[in-house]
Amino acid sequence: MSRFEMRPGIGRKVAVAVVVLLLAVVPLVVTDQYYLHVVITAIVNSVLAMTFVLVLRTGLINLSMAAFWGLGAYGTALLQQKAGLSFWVALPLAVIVATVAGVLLGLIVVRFSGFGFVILTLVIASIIPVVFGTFEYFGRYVGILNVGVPEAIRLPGGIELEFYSKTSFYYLALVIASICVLVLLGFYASSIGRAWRAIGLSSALAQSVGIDLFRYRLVAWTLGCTIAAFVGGFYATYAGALVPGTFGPFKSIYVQIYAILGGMGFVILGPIVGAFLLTVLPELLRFSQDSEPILTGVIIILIVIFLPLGVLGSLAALWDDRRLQALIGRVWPRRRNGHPGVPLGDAGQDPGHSDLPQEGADS
Amino acid sequence: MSTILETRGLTKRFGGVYAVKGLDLSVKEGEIFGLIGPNGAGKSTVFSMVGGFQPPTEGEIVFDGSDITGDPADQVSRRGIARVFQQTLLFEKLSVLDNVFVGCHKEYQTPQWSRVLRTRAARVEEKRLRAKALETVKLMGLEPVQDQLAKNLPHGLQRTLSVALALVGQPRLLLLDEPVTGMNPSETKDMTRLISRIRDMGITIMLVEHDMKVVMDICERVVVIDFGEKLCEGPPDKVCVDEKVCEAYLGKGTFDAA
Repeated sequence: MSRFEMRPGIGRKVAVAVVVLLLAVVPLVVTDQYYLHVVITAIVNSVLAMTFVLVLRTGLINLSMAAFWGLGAYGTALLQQKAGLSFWVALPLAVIVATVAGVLLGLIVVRFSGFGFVILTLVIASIIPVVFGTFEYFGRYVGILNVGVPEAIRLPGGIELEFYSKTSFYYLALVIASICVLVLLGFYASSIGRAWRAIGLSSALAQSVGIDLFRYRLVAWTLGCTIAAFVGGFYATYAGALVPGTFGPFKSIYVQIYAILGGMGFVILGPIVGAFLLTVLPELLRFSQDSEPILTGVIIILIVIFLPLGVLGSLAALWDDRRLQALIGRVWPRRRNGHPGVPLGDAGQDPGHSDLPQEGADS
Repeated sequence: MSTILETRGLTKRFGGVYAVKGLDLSVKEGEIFGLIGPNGAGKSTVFSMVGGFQPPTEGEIVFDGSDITGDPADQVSRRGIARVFQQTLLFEKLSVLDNVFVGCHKEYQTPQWSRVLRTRAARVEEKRLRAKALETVKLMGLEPVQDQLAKNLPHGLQRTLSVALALVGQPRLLLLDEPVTGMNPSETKDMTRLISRIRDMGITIMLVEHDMKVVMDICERVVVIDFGEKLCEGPPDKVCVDEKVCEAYLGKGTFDAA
């Protein structure tokens, strides 16, 4: 895993392709409308968790992504209802609005790091839903009802893509999530992605090789806001009704937990695994509405105790375990990529650990 | 020889305590300049200020004719000052080659967006920088371990890697903060040789070091500071016998009292 980190290798591309393919056939397997709804929710949550990991890469814990998710959702819904725009116009406009808001707020908050940043993002996360709930324009705490569905797309050849069924929304979610993943992969693979990684690993050293902390963190933050708003727009048309509470700080904290559960060393697959586990599992275990938070809480405590590296991080550590490698080597001998005479060391033993921002690392 | 770095009245105050007080230094192009002094004398603070990690309270820093006082570290780095940290600082979870590759960061010239979209020019540039990183890795003798994670290297190689990381950006002035700390004698010898080689490449070196033997061996000029103030200046063999310097290191009248 580690040796290809800076160059997303063919292995990672294949993994992503397999995941996308598996996701594409889900409606054929999951015929129950309710479970399809759970899967769509999980897709939205995955993308949100990706934005958390994105900003975390630069050493910042961002608790405000749900607020920008809300900005995208409210923006799309309001532009549809108040300005009478088509969904396909309202969505990009709302994304632009949220991005501009993201840049403006980012210019202030990204100057901070460590706890200062966490608290400021938490403040943003708390204020934005209150704004939605206070002003008549945003529908107060009743929210916005009857958000329009996307207009049908006419394809050449007389085929019309209509958005009424859960299945059609599922595919729309998949397309939107794929766009987000491709954009993220493009950034991660570029020099910008490397600069982010460098900042997250050691901000002082990154600065000393000429990386501007503020600029690169601002880019990560803004990209996170843009992507969160993008899935927010989808959520608005899918849910059909928006209430401010959905976009509160609790959601942001859940988003963070998805990312940690999946494994923070994995920028795309980690959030997907984490979000699916924590969205689908509580639904499967649910016997009454009220017990869901308790069960989720128990799951989270178990994760913290037994899987501090997240699901994928623990699997990677297991894979790199010398005993397991020796066993595999006996069954299927092959040349390791390491150098002869150089011990394997503890490569990959703690993917994810030092991804956490180090306190006082920048001054 | 022209002056490459000059500090005038450089001062750093933490509350009422002076870490550095009115320090005038001038480093000449192409020399190996040593900054020495007892523990807590303010050597690392000087480095921090020159490297742009801490703004000075007073005074100015002039590098190559332009005032860089208070500039942030990344801009100082872009001007051609590289710093090797006292505590070995590396991108621990990246391979040796990737570490050095990140060190090339400031040499990108194509616009950012073209690198995200992977245009032809961006790919060509990336290939060139990768080749350059590999070249530096070879030059520093790190080729056999180029695919290992930085954190798995032995201490000596980690120090070498941190120098490689600074060198790949083609600095004009290299700040070395205690380069041989914690090294065994053979690693120390390798590092000393490396430092001389870097100077021969035309890079000015300013170093802080505790190991007096190393300082004697390689430095051409030394400034001794104590309590943030300059005690004396000159070639190492002269400085070593200076009365004030002995006083600073050993204490005044210690032997009489005993």
